Amino acid sequence: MKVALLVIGLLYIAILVALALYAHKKNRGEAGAYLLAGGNLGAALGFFTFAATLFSAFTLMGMPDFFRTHGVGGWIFLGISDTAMVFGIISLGYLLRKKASEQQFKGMSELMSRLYGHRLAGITTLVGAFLFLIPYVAVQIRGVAIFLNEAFPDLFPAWGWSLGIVVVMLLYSETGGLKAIIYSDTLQSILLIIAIWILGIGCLRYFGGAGPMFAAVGQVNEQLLSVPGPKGLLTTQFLLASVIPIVLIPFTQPQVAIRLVIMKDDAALFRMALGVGVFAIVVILPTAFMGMYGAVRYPDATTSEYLGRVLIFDQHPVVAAVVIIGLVAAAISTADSQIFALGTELNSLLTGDERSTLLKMRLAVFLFALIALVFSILSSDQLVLLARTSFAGTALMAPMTFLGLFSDRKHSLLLPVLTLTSMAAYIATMSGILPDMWAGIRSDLALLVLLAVVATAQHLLNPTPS
Amino acid sequence: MTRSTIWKLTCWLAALLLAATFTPLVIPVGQSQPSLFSLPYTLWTGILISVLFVVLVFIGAYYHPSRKP
Repeated sequence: MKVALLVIGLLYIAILVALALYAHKKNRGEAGAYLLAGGNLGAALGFFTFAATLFSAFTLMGMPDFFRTHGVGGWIFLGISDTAMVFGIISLGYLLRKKASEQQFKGMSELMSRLYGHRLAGITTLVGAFLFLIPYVAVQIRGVAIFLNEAFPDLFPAWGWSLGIVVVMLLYSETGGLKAIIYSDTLQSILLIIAIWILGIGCLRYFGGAGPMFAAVGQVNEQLLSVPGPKGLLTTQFLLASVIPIVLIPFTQPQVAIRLVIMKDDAALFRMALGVGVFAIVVILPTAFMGMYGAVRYPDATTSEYLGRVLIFDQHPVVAAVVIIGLVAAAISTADSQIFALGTELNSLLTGDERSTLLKMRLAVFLFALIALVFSILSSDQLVLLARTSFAGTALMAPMTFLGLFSDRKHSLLLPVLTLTSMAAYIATMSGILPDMWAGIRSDLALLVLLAVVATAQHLLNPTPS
Repeated sequence: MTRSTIWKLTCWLAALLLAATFTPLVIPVGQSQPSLFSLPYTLWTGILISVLFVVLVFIGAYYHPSRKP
């Protein structure tokens, strides 16, 4: 397998380098092209980059393990969230694009500063993105690193794999900017779907079809076939508190929001959204098969043991090599977009000449990647739950973002201040300083509802502009 | 029916679909029957809802207010 991996891996890196150089040439040193890919993205490229940014190592590694541990309710957690989210894109995404084009979009942070008439709103957006995207980037890197370490224990330590991933990611995103990321996303999303379906079909074939598979799962643990699952995690409240933040991602996570804004026109946006909806179903379904396979064959294995078996050791060596590269590609495609988006957000708030702000932004991207690397070495193996924390954290910015985007009233700074306070409170609940449940309601859900009520009140009570 | 009415109806249906997801209609506690093509109840209803969302996206994109008739 090592020979196959080496060949496919070198080919993959060579294509990434070629794409980065091609993007670098096309950018012609223009900041707009480097940061926002020229803002003229067609439906096909938009679809691939959106899909690759959204579906990551979290999908290929986290979801099978989530299905294995918590059962079929995992579909509600991600399948419904993602398809509902694409409806959100067509119903509200065009309004975001309209507002962004009116305000000469440079980033969500700068847009919020303009809409609220104060930098605090922009800083809140940047701080929220930083606080909750860094753990998500770390999840991607961590997930792949522990898996590679499990597969090749004698080759490198887990941190060595993490470092390698970060270096590859930085090399091409720093060279070719957002265009390089978008081109590589096309390659990465194709790799992801091929890898995931090879695995999914293999798992189904092991049982001889869906019927025998679910019968076998029922014999191992009947609770895996319904909610809330064996551990009781997938309660209505948990699912609701997970679905809402995921549906809000296009408006709360800058790497996704930027992709909506830089689409060529609304028609391209709609075609992209439709494609992503279909892709979501197609990409999540095989992870359920992989999870059920794991529930029967490896019910008591640790996450990394199970992933090592299902993704590598139970596969033909060439398939395993494709899967490994697909997995690395999936992690990189999401992590690079997030790190680069953080840089773009910072850049949008910086003042000064274009050359110096761009240099600062590139240094910041390097620094953000370094922080994510450290975090990845220190974080836990609960990939899905860590990712969910990131979604829930960024979702707290939704009421402030929506009020700024969709209300024509004059905005006070109350909501940015409350959003910052809520994010601090959410971190306090995760750290155990504050309780996780408030009067029987999950703290993240309670905070989101509170902010939504304040945003609605602000819209109703704030004066209309003269 | 006008384009605007169809668009509004699509939005209402999407909201209704999302709300229905969190009821026992889709996530009945501890219940895996009736199955469809051997898929447990919550899985096939969940997949069905996802497919319906994609259909609504298709219709919504066609009748979207920003599109010229």
